[in-house]
Amino acid sequence: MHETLKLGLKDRALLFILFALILIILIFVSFCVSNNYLVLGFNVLFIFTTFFYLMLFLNKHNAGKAKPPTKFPLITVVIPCFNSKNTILECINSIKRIKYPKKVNILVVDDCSTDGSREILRKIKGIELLELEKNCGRSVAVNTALKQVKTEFVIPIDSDSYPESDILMKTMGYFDDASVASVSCLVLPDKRDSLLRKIQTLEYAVSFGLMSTLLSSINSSYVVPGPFTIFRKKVFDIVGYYEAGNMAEDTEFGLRMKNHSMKLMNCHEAVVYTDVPNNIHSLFIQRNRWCRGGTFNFIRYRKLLFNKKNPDFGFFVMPFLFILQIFVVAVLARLVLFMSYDLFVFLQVMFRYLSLGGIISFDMAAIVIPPSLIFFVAAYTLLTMYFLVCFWEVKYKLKLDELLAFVILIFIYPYFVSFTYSQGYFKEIFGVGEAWRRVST
Amino acid sequence: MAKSVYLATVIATIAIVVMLLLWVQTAEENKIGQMNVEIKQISLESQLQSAYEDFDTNNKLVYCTVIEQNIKNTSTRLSELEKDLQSYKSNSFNSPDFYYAKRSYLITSMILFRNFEKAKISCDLNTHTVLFFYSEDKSCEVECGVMGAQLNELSKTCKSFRDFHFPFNWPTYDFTKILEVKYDVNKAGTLVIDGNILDKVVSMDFLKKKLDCN
Repeated sequence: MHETLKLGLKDRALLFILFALILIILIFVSFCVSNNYLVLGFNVLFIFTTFFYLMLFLNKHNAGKAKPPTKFPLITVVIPCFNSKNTILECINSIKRIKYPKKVNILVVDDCSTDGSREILRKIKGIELLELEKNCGRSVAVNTALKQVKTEFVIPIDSDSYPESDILMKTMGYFDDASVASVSCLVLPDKRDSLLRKIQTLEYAVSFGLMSTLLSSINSSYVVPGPFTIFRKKVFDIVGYYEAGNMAEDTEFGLRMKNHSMKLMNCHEAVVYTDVPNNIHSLFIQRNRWCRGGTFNFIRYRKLLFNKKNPDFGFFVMPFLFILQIFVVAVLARLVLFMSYDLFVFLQVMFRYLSLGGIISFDMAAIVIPPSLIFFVAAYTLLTMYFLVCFWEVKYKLKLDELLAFVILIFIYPYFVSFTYSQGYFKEIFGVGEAWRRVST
Repeated sequence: MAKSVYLATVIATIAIVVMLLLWVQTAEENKIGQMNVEIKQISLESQLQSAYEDFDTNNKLVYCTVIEQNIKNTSTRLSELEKDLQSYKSNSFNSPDFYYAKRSYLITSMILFRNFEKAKISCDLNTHTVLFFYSEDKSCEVECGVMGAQLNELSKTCKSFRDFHFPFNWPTYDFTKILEVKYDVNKAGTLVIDGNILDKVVSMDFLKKKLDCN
């Protein structure tokens, strides 16, 4: 276990006040106007966000394509390894298969593994191995290696990630633009053997694919995914190294790069595969970590809000994402409050009605389709369109057996994710929760 | 800054939301329009009943059969309308139209109640009259919910009573106040069965007995 960074009391109070303010406004509005207007408001936000990405796509449809390199600088791949005996060999082999005219150095840092990974690593030829004496966590392990890297480019990669062989030939061309500091790529789950993994595959194809590309096209990408991101080595000399103890160190590092007005790009035609949670519990922990890390880092980097150096990010993406995140939590809280009250009244009525000799009969005619449903239909139609555009753009062929996963992804999964995010949000506000635990990606 | 993208997004969002709102408005106008037509129709039929009574009570056999059938029919339609109005209220955007329709509904309901009371005397109808005063706000959620469910369930199987529902202390309509004063109704969640007040929730068996539903 490693020490987890937590927000200070002042930051937590700020977070709480923001949340309480939005919740109070929502409750006040609920008493003033019909619920339909709340449904309308929520869907307008939904429609606006989807339209934003669609418009951006129409405007920047050439973004994210493969850019073959014209120069071939030296590259080092850094792999932090902790108890990864099942994946490390395949990870290293996949890196060795990468096509690149020059030798790609592989530097593995064993973070004091106890499962025999170290012994496996010692036997592998063609890699450089660093052995840490005690378990320090991913950030420290990567930092240790980064300090030894001498090449112009460096790629930290998770030990359960497997890049495609053409990944460098598709991405290194981005660095022809001297202002580009990092290039990430499309992250996809390596296995699609369960419904949960199929859902995540479709989710990753959207969020790590076109969505990341579109954000990077307006210089607003702020994540450098752990499975595979290429950096200019000098980035670390300028902004420093990964922060130890941060639950979302890649988000923190991305925001720190943004703070230095660096350009983070994404190429969705280059693919890396990674291990993803295969049960609800692991997924819950992972999303909780993402949310807590995201909230923690957004609060710490709030100086990026309305920052003129990154106008799209500072004036739109960051405030919108930040407010949206709190808004979703507040909407859920409001929903739970009101639904609990309605349920409480309903149960009281039913209990008294039944205890006084009443019988229950179901009346189909009592089912009413509210007109506000049309807004849901419109929002979901747009969302489906956008998802299909994303799949088409990243050349992901939706198979017939993935249709159920697609339906769940659109209609059910967001509520699960919102719930995990809400929980993570409250943990961050009240400064509680488990210590640093990295499940995957 | 991608100003053109933001502008296009705002325009597209406004366009689609306005389009959908117009669609919803048209649908709601149609729905409330249909309800208003039905209320008007029931109201006309109820007025005709009143008119018949003035000149045709000598032929009791025909008159009473027609009136009884008509009251049964209109009160069923009225109770359907009440459900429609309630669901319209909780699901629609258009609250002013709702209050106009509700007002028409209440007037019609009172005319029908009055006709029913007259017909009971002139035709010796052996049917109970139930007035149910419910609440439009949250002051009587549980009691009114139980009473409403009981009446709803009983009306499906028991034909020996007619129920008329009125909101207690409705702010914009004082005709219901006449009934409240007449029967000395002091709170929401009150039943008036043949003129007698019952201001608490009772068992289904008690209600069945009171309304001769056994």
